[in-house]
Amino acid sequence: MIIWQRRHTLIMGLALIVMTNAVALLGAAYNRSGSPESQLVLSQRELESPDRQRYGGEDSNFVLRLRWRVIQPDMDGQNVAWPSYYFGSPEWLDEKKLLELGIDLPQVDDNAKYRHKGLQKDVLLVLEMNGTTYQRALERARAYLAKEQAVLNVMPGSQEFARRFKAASEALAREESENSRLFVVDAGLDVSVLRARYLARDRYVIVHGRIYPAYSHSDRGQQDRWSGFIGDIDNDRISVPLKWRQVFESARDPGAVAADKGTAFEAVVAFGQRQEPWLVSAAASLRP
Amino acid sequence: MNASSRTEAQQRADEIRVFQRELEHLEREGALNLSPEQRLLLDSHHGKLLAQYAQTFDIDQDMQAKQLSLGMRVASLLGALALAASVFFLFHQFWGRFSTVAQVAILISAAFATFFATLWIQVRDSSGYFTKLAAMVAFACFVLNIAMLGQIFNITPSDKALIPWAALAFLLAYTCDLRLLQVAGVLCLIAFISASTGTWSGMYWLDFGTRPENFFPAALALLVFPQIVGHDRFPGFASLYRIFGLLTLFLPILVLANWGYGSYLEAAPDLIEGFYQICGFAVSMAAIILGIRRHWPEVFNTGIVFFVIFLYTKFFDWWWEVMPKYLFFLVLGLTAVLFLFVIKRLRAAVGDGLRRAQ
Repeated sequence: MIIWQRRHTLIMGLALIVMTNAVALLGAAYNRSGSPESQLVLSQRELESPDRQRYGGEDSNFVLRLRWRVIQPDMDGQNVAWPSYYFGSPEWLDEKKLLELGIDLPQVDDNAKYRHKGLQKDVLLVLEMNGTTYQRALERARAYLAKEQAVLNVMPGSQEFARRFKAASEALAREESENSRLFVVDAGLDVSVLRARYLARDRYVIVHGRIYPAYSHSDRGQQDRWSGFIGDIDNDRISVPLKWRQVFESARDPGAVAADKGTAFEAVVAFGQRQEPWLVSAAASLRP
Repeated sequence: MNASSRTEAQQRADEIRVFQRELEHLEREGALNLSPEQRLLLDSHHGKLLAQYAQTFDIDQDMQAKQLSLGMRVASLLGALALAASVFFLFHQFWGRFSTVAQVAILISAAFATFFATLWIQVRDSSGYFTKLAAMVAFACFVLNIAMLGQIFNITPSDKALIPWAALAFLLAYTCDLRLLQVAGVLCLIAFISASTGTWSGMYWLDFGTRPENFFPAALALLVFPQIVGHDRFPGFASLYRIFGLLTLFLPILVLANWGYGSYLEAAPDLIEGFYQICGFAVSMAAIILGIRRHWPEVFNTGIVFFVIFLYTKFFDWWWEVMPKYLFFLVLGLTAVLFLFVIKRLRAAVGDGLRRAQ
């Protein structure tokens, strides 16, 4: 029988620290090995600056966040004027898709609706940068403006309609120059299957994320149905190395940049073998 | 000398002092009279033992020392937690000013340096208080080491990180006889086992709390472990495993007894809540009986506490809306008095049982 001595503790502790760090660093090295799985050029519209007030302003960490969106069903212009970030129920994530993703949808009763609320499943999500989904969002903003324009033309003296027309104009302006062009467009369980469907590695990136089902009651004459919500994306935060910190120091939110009150930038973000991102390069740029 | 840790030595010293006081009473009452040679031998033996313990383990030699020690333990606990928080905020304050290579080097060397420092201090600190501070800082540095490497390289969060954290916490706990680090290790282990259970059932690992039944395997592991692995050389460790095992069992039952939607069981929430309420009473009664039979006061006390909680929760469900408030609290008070009588009868029965066994 071995009698445990202090040197055993020393050896065990050293081995534990060495092995744990080795696993973490080798994993990071593997992720960055070979050609990146995908590589995107993002601007201040798609990368949110860090929260400077974290820990009372005493956090010097510099971490950017991917500003991702989904195309949600239009509801009287609400989702057009004020798109939501980091959350949403895209039209394509319907009951059929949820079943394809292996989510068990039980018989619907009050218990099931409530029981499954918030239970997330780990899946792969496809993000599209400045592609057809963004063009759709632009078209919707233009259509929304055209609709409000038509209503105002009918009653030009109405303050309410004038206010709505102004809101629609501002919504279009935001869509053209401030809103993120990065959308979640698909979900799946196999990287190779998704990559075969979305070949352009400079436009589509595959990341890990979570979705969950919710049973929604419709008050618009449509059927009650199961739909999916995108809850979260892994690795949507990107640490900024010291050498590029200056590029983002004077960065502001996209609204301020659009109003000439902040610096625009372009950053190249690569995603590796484990779908983990890193910053390849960053530079201040002319405003888009 | 026979004592292998400070806890054991302190326990023996306390027993010697109690024995000496009782011996004086017996001699005064004429029940026992030792010869002068026996008395000399006994006093010499006890004197040598206490001197050795004082030198090797820095034990409390009298009541005042014991009270001061309690103050030192509180200060040591608060100091350990404060130092760990200080390390955390120190890293965050200055982190962004270093290059990636410097950050990695600082993280790894901080983990090594604080681990070495803990072992170095332990050799020189017979009281154990400074060792506790150093061990907590070492644990905090190791947690930060892995967590911040994850942030620097944007590594996907994983429950696997809990394994090395638990391993280091237990290594320091057993080496330095520190129950604070044992608690840290137990918490990491509970989180890992519960997250793994959640993952096996198909949920995302961070969501393990949404299904309280995920905690049951961890509870079972903590309750069984001290039965399989003897902890005679580590007084207090087995009790801590049992306490956390029971908490990990009772708290999810309490949640499910009031929120049936959170269960894996496919049944009406009312039925599930009723089922877990019955389980709550049954398990707490079992803990009380087991605590009495095995002489585990922590199990007995935890069983009593949760039996009362389950009972008061039912009283609230039944009577809060229908009874006047003064009557409701009167019922609670009378129930507490009934408990006192029951426990008194139990104590008497246990005492009779012990006397018959002797």
